[in-house]
Amino acid sequence: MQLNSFIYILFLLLFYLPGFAQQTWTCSGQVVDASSREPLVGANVYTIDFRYGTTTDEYGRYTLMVKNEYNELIASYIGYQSDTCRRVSQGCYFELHTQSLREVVVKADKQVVQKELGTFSPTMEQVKALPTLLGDVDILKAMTLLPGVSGGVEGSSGMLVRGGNLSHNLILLDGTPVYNSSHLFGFMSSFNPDAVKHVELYKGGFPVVYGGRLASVLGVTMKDGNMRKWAGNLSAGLVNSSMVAEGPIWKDRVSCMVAGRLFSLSPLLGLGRKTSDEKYGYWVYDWNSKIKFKLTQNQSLYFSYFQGVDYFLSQEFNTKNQVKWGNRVASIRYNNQLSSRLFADFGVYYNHYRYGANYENTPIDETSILAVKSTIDDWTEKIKMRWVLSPKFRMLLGGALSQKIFTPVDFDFSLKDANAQVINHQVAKEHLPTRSLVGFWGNEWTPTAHLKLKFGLRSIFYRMASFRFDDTDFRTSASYKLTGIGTFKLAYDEMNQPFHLLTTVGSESPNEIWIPGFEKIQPSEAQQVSFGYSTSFSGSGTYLSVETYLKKMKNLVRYRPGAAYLFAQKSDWRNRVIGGGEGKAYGLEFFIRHKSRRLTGWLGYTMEWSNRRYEQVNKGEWFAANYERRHDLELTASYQISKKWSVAGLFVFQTGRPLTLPTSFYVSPTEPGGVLTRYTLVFDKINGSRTKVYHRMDLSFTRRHRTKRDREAAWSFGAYNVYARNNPFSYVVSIAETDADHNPIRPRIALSQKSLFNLIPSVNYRLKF
Amino acid sequence: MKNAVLFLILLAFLGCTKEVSLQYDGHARSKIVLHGLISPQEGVDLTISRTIPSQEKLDTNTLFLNDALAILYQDNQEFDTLVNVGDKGHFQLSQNKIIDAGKTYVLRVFVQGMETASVDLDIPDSISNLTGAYAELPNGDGSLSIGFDDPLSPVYYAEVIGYDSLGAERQIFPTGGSDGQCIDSWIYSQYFFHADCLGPENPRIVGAFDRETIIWEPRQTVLLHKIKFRLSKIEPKYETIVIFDDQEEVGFTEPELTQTNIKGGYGYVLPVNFAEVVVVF
Repeated sequence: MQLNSFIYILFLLLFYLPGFAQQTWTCSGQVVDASSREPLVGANVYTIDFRYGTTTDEYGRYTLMVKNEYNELIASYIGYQSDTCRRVSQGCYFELHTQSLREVVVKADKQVVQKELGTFSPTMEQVKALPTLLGDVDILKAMTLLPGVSGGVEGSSGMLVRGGNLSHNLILLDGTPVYNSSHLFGFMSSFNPDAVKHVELYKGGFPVVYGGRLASVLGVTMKDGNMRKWAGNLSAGLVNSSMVAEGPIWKDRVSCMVAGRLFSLSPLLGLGRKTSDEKYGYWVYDWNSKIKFKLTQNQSLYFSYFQGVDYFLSQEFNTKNQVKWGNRVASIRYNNQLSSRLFADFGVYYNHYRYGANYENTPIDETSILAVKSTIDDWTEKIKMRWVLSPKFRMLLGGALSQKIFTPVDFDFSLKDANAQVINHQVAKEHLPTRSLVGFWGNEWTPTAHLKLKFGLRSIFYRMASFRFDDTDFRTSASYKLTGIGTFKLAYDEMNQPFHLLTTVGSESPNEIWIPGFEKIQPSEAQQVSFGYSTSFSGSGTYLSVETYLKKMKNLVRYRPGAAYLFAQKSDWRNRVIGGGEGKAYGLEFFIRHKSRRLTGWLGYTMEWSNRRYEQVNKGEWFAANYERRHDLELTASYQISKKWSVAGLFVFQTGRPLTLPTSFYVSPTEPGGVLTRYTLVFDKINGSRTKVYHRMDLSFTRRHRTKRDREAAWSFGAYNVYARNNPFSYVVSIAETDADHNPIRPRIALSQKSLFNLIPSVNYRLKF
Repeated sequence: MKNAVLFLILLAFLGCTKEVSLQYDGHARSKIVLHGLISPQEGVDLTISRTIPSQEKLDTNTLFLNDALAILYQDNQEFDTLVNVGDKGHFQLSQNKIIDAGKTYVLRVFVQGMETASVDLDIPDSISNLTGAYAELPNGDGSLSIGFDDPLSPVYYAEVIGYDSLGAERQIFPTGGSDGQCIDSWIYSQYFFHADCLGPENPRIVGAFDRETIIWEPRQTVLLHKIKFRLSKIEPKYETIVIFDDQEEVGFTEPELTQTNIKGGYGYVLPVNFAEVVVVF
């Protein structure tokens, strides 16, 4: 990034200083749920004429500087009654009360504080209202229903944002990056919705505090725990169960939250067992816990811990295969409202990511054991300071120091004879430590009530052995509100990603290896320009947003053709990957959301083009990116039929995703002049074809009631893919030499489509205590 | 009841497979496919066929291009027009023509209505500097090592032929060793391997084998009596995307990138100088 620093400093001076000259109040505080004291993230705090406003951060905190002519502030949050504070000069601590169904007021959803371009933060109530596969609410899958975001293969919780890859999303759990965000080979996200209080997705207009990925940032905030009383809920499904408990350890001072989920496919897998020697199992669990210490009104200390594990076992005759993968994530954070204008947040974050497999083969006279794993150990220390300089100007400053140790492949093979003597032992292991220092500086300037500008820099100094990558990203956004018409928004973002994920997208087997950038595989970089318009239709509870974007990416990384499996390979992984790829994506996104007393839902539509180019692939020509969906439409709706019954529906329509298919085949002899017996398929173009169109509808009915002990409970009855369409999951190409009745035919290319999920009913019971 | 529900869900999970019709941007056109060897010892041994577009079925009556015009050039001068032998697209040199070692030839194949296929063929000098091939293990099972003196060529081709004690040809299959380190691919007894693995300073094991082989009709066990190397070098000037498999789940993995030296077509014509090294047990 090149910026004339003189102009930049002059620019700052021009607009910082006027703010100091005026008589102002600075009000800082927090917005919490009145019954649990749970901080509310993303709540609006604003002056009565909407002239000044802000939103609360991940701690529910805000700082607002206003001219002294204002003496009251209002706080509002979807699903809560608004509250007014008239002691602005002393700071306002808002306790919002939830609304009952009859009290839902449409104006509560009004855009009092302008939503940033490319930002979505559906409430957990909206996410939970969606119909789900097997009755399980899934945060990542809910995100894929938003415009500009699409999923991977059917059922997968992978996210692809604005033409990016699966690995281009920064997923943060309480500020800690999560490398593996899914269970069940990608079919279920790692985040327990009962333990989460807020999710926020950025597709553009990225705050400078976030970086390290090209396409998106998904911030997931865990519940702090109820400060007033113990509460929780239990949920049981057919193959899964979950629990959440939260409450005060020291009322109004220390709270905790614990949540766990267990998912076992073993009963289902056991049904397919043919002999007693065979054993199959698949267990998934995740565990969230958090303790919050409210040290003073202005200081808090948090401990967060998350562990998510998948374990797959397959044992038959003399083979035993075990695959285990997951994350351990922990963080300690301390924040302090140092003054009414200055807020500081310190954190230490740790993530251990592991992907491991053990293959044991014990025929009569020897035993072979192959143990392979890939790990990342990631330590990060971060400081962030938010400073309100004037009613019109606020600044964000901070930095992070990070050390990551990558072990792309840890390979250990041993062959033992019948006497347990080692015949052959091969080991390959490599630790790749990286260090990075990040500094960021962001500014938010609101020169008029209608115009808001953001601009900032984010620099990274990255080292891996002798390789250096120093880069500064410039980011800026502007929004202009025209009264009665709507808000126009524009953003420019630069992003970089020093770490790459190698994966066979949608693979049926675990195959995710993270590698650090180095000389041959340079860190990836992206530039994105986006433009949007949004408006709220007053009185109707309807919000409309249209956005368009253009994104360019460079130094993308992928497997070398024919080397699509790095895991369990002893050979040097450096020879199996190629870098220097280019990416280009552009698209149009349309979003309309409605919320009224009984009906809530949204319609999202995306039209997208996303292409890739590598010198060594596809003869150096551009080809469509995996999972580019030219048209992607999602319609969700939930309707409150009565006090007890509600119904929710989801309809998805997507054009087929790109697919590499053979254009012809030929026959080769086994030796020159020999008989032609070997079929060879010819692929002229990567992703030159497309799968069939995907569409499905899901429905769920929920009946809420109170138990004899006066606890809230709910039965949910749902169906995934209600009209049982055979949607494409994967394709198998073969040379067919016989027909369906096994009669010989003249050989031809045959293409078969595999469908994964037909109609899937689900039943779920939830109990709140 | 619980089991019944689980069973229903299992059924739903099974999904289904059905055949669908291919949809492409446009219909693929047939291209010329060449397979063969050219050597000073055996002249030209070439099969000319064509690719079968996805919308067609394979018909052996139209697969071979017996009416192709295959012309061999030497130093830009027409050297020979190959003659068709039989009805299986088989072409040979006309009589009294001999391929010279160390010369460069170009083979061009013309078929009406199809793109012309051509291949540059550098006939290797006689490989006199092949330093040896031997079986390493005392019992005769073992590894084959070769070393030779031309590390600059990017890819070598070697054919390894075994002969049993009855004098019959036996295929050699690598059974282990470090073959994966150097060998790009191997099809039956034909190997392609990287030159940087080889050379006088670095004789490498290219394949381990079992000396004992079984003959099924009549069933008996024979020992390999000798192993013969035929060696050549190839420069893969043109690359295309093909996959050596007749069944592949697509969508997850991409086709292998393999090498062909045919421009405007597919297949492989190998310029070979049969420098032979024989290991006799």
